[in-house]
Amino acid sequence: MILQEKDIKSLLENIIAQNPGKELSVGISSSETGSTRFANNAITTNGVYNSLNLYVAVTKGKKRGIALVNELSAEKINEAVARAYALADVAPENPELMPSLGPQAYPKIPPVYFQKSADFSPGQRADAILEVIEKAKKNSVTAAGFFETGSYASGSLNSNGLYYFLTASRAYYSNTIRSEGGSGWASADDENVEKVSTEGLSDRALRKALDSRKARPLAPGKYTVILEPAAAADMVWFLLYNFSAREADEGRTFLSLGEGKNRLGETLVSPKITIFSDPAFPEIPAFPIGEDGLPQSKTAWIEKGVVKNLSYTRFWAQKMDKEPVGFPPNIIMEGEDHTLEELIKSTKRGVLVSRFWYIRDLNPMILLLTGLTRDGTFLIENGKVSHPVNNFRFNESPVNMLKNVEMMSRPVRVVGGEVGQSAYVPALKVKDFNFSSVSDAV
Amino acid sequence: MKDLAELALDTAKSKGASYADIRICRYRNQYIMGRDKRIETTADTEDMGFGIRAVANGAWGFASSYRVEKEEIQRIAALAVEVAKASSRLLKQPVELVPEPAYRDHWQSPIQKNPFKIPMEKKIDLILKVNEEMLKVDGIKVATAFLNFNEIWKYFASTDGSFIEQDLFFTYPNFTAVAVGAGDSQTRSIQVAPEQRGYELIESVDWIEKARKTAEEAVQKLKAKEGVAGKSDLVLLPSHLCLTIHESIGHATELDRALGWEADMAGTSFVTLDKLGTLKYGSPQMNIVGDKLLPNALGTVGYDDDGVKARRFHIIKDGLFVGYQTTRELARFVNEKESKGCAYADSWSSFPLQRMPNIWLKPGEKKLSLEELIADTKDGLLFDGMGSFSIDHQRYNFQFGGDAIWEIKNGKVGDMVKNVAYQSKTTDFWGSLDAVCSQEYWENWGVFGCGKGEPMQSARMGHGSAPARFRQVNIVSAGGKI
Repeated sequence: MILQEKDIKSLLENIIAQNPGKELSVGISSSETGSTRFANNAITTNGVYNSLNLYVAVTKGKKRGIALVNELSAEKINEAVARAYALADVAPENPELMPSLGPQAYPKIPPVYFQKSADFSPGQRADAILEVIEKAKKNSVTAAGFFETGSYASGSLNSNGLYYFLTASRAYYSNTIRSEGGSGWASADDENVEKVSTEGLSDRALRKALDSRKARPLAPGKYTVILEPAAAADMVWFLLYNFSAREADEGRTFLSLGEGKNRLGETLVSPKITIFSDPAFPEIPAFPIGEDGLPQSKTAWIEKGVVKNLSYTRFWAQKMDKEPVGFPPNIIMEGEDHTLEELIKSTKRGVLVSRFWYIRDLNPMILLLTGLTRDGTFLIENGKVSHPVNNFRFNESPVNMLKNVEMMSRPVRVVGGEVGQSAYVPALKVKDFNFSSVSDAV
Repeated sequence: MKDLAELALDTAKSKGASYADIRICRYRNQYIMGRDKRIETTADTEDMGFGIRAVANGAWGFASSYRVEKEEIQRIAALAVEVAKASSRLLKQPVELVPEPAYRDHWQSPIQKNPFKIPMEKKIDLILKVNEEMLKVDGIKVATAFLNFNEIWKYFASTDGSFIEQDLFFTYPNFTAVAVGAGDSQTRSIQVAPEQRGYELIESVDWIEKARKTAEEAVQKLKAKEGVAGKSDLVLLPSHLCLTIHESIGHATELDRALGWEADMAGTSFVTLDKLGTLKYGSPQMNIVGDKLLPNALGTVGYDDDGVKARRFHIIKDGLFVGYQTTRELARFVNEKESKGCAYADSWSSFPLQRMPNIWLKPGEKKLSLEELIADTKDGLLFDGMGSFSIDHQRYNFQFGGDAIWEIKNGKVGDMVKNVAYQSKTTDFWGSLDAVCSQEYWENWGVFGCGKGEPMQSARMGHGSAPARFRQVNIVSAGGKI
């Protein structure tokens, strides 16, 4: 059972009250999670996990010390405050340390706590997995996966009266179904466990596993690709991870223009592309709280191909005479009024990519990434999926990718296989995507 | 602690467990981060709790809590058994653990100076001085740094009769210079390996000298030649080879992956069970050891998280694959009667997985220095430090960059090159290994944050080697424009 708001708030208020005259920021988080793993058509591990954390930051002018403990006894709380105080004492002044904020008003977001997700039991997870395993056995394939459910609460209070509390539930399900010579995967997350369909996700993984058998060789090179939403989501997240104004201004990224300038306001990608974040977006809500407790609201990152915002920390915003812009709490990418099938139908020759794996930066100045396809890669010929092909390594930039988008589906909520953060993105049809070599992995 | 542990084991047994163990753990972490002659973070964290594993009706159950109290231990022990019973409905093969003697022991990292007893001012001063030295070099725009000190204390007890206390210490320094100029930005990090050592690791290094050299090399990288695609011989230094060993050998020879247990996330392995004793993994110069005993290495322990005493074993001998990494649960799947001691959980709240031990490449038997190896290489590339890394989910196709790369021309180290990586298939790459320097050139390196499992767990392990040469490996360019 996670801590309730009244308990967290009262503990936080006590800590602040017992340390008069000190500049403190304290936070308490509490979570309870259950997760079940399965592989080779059997459950392998099943566990219940709970955690508690107390965060104490003491600020003395431009100096700060931080202590974290996972106990809430009076003795431990006092010890954490004393430790943070001692660290702040010895820390040199940090000219970039910003003053603590006072109370803030946060935008309202859709419900993110569902009791059914919080209460979902090991037995209920096992029941759902049992159905997946039965399906796998019937089709002579093997299923592996992970089903996690639970809830989380977090509150924070500082000496200036800034208080916020968040509580959310989450359900995450992922499965990989392996056939003789093929593999399929599907995953989803939601705050509401009832929206995570283990049946639908296992059907999808099973279909991919069966369809991807007997892959034929296909040479590396530049291809028109159709990236299913899970693959597109990973690439878009990697793009936005690199939307820091400071790094751009310092000349360290693809968004740098030199001499302290960046590409804010420039056309970066195809005019088809609009990407924003919005904590209140109904299909993919997020916590509306950013750096030091600043409110997060709807923020356009790319609008019709133009860079509309970069992420500015409080310090960098002040230095550059801008408003702070928090790191994206979620990603929403606009699509077009098409289905994935229509994207395939429009393609004379191309490669359909189900998901990516092991994506890493190669060169920040062009945001060149490398990674691999996995769990279902197919050749498209004359508007139809022709046959499965080998997996590929790609060396490609999401900037080029979004310059070369020809067509998009309607967006959906997905969790990418690599990043693990959900996004609301369409499938993309992209020309000239660079596959640099073949992977023998199945 | 013994009383609490016995209470857990007795409760689990009384609820129907055929086996149970408890780990009571305390993790302490001190983290100091600096940038540009400023200290951005000074943090001290402590995390304590316990996890109980139980086998009931042949299945595992696990539960954990941060409240290390009698009543909670009883509740969690009962819950672990209840979870095991819920899991047993889908049992395919009951859990069977290979035998291991019972131990009553205490083990501690062989440290000389407890890093938590060193004044914070001294650590802050080091970061500021290294930052300052780096920023003195013309062209350096940013200097970043962190010092990370960890202590892991754990008390393990099992229904097999073991009661084991361990205290591990880790020291991880990291300093990076960022050069900016002429439309480019390049980084270079001081090459000092994290180790299972105390503050003596920090005191053994001339940081100021290294700071200056590292910063100068970052600036040199700005002016370095662009890498050209093609084939090249590679001389890989231990600081670089560490990660290649980790990804292409370490993960590939994990038995849980080979059995499909990690299929949903990390993937499986091309090293399937039929390849044990038959797969020619690499050239005859390739001898790879799995090792939980190596002094100061990141994966060294007295006992693993199954309570198995640390040991050393061959994974690859004269190029032939001869042994998987195993745990007490996994050993029987390869008909072995004892575990290799590779169980590890990254927290009291994590279920132990099969994790890599230290995995290292044996030095060459013939005396061979790095200078001689380079002198014997007509045309090639020399890689130092870790760069970009990526490998497929069965560990065939990989691509690695480096922290700094130089040309080798006619037996001499030449100009620096940038924006280049090598790409290969695991067995092709290790098959092209034709020389490994001798013992005097062997260095212990390691990976501090390796992710595996669902939920993801982070582990650390050592990967030592001497400099080694690989023939005619595929090079790809990472340069270009957008």
